[in-house]
Amino acid sequence: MRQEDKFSDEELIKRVRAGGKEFEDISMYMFHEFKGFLPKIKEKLNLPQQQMQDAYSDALVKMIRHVREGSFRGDSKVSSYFYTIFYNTAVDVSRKNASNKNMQTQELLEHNARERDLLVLIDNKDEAAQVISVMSSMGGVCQRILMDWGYYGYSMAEIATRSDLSNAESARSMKYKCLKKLRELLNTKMYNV
Amino acid sequence: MSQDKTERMEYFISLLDDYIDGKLSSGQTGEIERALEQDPFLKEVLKQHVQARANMRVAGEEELKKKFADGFDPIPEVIQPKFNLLKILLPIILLLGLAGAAYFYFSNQEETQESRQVYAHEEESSSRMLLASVEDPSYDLLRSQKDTLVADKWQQAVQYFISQEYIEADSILITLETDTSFIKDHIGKFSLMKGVANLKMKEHNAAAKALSQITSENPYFDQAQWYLALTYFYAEDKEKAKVQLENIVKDKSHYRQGQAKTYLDKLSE
Repeated sequence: MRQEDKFSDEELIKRVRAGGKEFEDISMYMFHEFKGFLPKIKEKLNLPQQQMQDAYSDALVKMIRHVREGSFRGDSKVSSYFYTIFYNTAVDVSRKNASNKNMQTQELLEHNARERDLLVLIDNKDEAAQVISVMSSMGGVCQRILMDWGYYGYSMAEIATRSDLSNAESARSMKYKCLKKLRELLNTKMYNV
Repeated sequence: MSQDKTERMEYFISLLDDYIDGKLSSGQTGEIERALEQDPFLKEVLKQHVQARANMRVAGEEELKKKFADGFDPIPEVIQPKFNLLKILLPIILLLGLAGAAYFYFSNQEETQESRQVYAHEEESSSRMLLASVEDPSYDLLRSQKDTLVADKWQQAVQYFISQEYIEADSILITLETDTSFIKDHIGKFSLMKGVANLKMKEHNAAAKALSQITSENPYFDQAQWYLALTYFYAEDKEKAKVQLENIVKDKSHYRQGQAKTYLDKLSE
């Protein structure tokens, strides 16, 4: 994918939701495409370079999540939607700088709306608040396979190629084992907190 | 676990992803929800599965952010448009000529002009302080595919608030007020929106009451302090406004310290 290629909003949304290579490519495309907002927000809020970069990446990841989960319904242009999220994220960073409070500026460790609804349905609200993170305890291969499947949305055949497995069936079998391992790790962690 | 039970469990586990994504038929959804009610073990598995998916998403997002981190260049300053010398000099020469001519005609009216300038300055300063120009706090408009009724109401309120339709936003907030659980969990963002909406509607008492609900431990406290100061300012309650604004000015780390000074100056005029 070349940066000179231009994509309509429909195409952007379609590719983000498609997963796999298309998703990875379009994410990088949007990363470069929306960089023009950086100087504008920097001028408004005067944040240091590193914090601008962090806010920009957080905002883009957040927007991608909204697109994939259907929270973004295309009522506005993708770029306008991103600008709003980026501006709000940067304002939060600016407020955090000003007040030096332990304020959460990103949602990375929170469940999405659907997960929260489910957890509330089966559990109490307190336990629905945060993700218990154990991915770093997984082995490298398992981590790669689960992320390719669970986040990037690659097909089993693609996962087999990417993780050097013989075929899609091996990838499926590995994914099953890795997912089981992840659930066991979570089970241990949830009841040892 | 008997063979039948194991197979049944395997069957439900195979449905979990589609269930979480809301992709099951209504029949299958009913089937899995009944099983969840009856089987605490399945509930546990679903809880772990939700956590597992969240783990994959969080790890994926972190990885994506790392990829982005390598793609940044130094952020350029916003470049002001360059003028060529002639474009700058020509109007200056013309202006000087006009000013010279005007000097002879209006030299006896100098005093009047000065008073007009002061008036213009005051007008400009006041217009910056018009209630309508007060910036609203930002709220994200997030929707999920399967919103709960309360979350749906909140999204509606946010939508109205962002569109500056404060009466509509407030009327939805009033219906949310009866949900004690929602209020308990979201007192900060709720009271801030209620306070600012009422401030914009010039319902100063209601605004002050809502904003005063936000205590100093709440992450929205700095914003509540600022809008409470503005509420007293626009209610022309000078004493309370002064106290609030002075508190903000004293707090060197407050995100509105500079603007609070401006409002304090205006109060002492």
